[in-house]
Amino acid sequence: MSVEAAHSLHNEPHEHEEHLAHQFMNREQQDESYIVGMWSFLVTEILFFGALFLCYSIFRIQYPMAFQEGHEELSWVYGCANTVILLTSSLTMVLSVHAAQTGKRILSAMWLAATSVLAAGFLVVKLAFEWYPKFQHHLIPGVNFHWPHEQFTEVAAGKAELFFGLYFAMTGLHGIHVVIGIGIMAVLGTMLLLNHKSTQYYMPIELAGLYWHFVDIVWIFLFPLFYLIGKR
Amino acid sequence: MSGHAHVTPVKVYFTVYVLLLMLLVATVGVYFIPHNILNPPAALAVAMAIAIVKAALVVGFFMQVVYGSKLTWLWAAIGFVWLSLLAGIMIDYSTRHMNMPDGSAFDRMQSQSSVE
Repeated sequence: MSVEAAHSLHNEPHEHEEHLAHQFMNREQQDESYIVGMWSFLVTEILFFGALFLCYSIFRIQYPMAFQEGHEELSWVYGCANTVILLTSSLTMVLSVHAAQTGKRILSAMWLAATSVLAAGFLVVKLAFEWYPKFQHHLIPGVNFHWPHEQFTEVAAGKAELFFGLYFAMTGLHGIHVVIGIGIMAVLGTMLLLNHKSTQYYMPIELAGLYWHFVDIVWIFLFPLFYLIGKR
Repeated sequence: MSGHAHVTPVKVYFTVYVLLLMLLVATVGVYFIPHNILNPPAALAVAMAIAIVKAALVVGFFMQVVYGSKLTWLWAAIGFVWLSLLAGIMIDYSTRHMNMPDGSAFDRMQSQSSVE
């Protein structure tokens, strides 16, 4: 910090700058602290999901046929539809941040609501059209797991079960993140509508956005790894 | 609510969104290329390359890292650096004899190099 900046800070007490907590020198420093703090959390999330992606890689290298056959039970159409939904929700999220930055409080809340609706749509496709039929077809790992193709191919049921174990663990963990995202957006949207002082500055919406885009990125990798393994 | 924040023009967001959708079409398109034209490892490499470009677009523009401070850049990059360290464990796995659930061993590199 330059000497002039230090002086001007001294001359202007913090109370004069709006939405600035007193441990920070200025708004830039506060913003950077918030954003880096959120990224620190996202780094732990990257490693959290990263361990699962590593586990996936080891088993896919070891059992390529099981992954090939397992993925044929999934529909790329639903996966693709959900990718479109999540990419669109990332767009509505940045539009919400943009509205908050330019002082359009109600519009920001509306875009947050749109993001939540898209997130809920993602869960509907995931649960109603994908997971529920898997339950009916006994493709949930466990005592009732039944692999219908075992007699036709060399893939043992256990290996297919492993594929579905990874599928449910990874899309499940991702789904939990989507649910948490909806909760965050609902709270922030309500606070915006009530004009709560915490959301008068755009940073909370920006941070929720960082989280939401991270959830989107995880899906960007899950989609080709589970749904697009390869045609035969 | 005005401030020192970088306000990205909405046009940039829509452009990135359209690019993301085009890349999605590309990755689904690659899926339909027959295996005798594009073999599975190459198809996986292409799919992952597309996913990395999509992720970079999201991190850069939607997460505003392109306009962020140097510290933000560092923090955004460091997660992927740690992830690459984690992936380095893969190399360790390939040098060990590790029993898999079906009794086979995850030692492809060893079995290929020491056939004698």
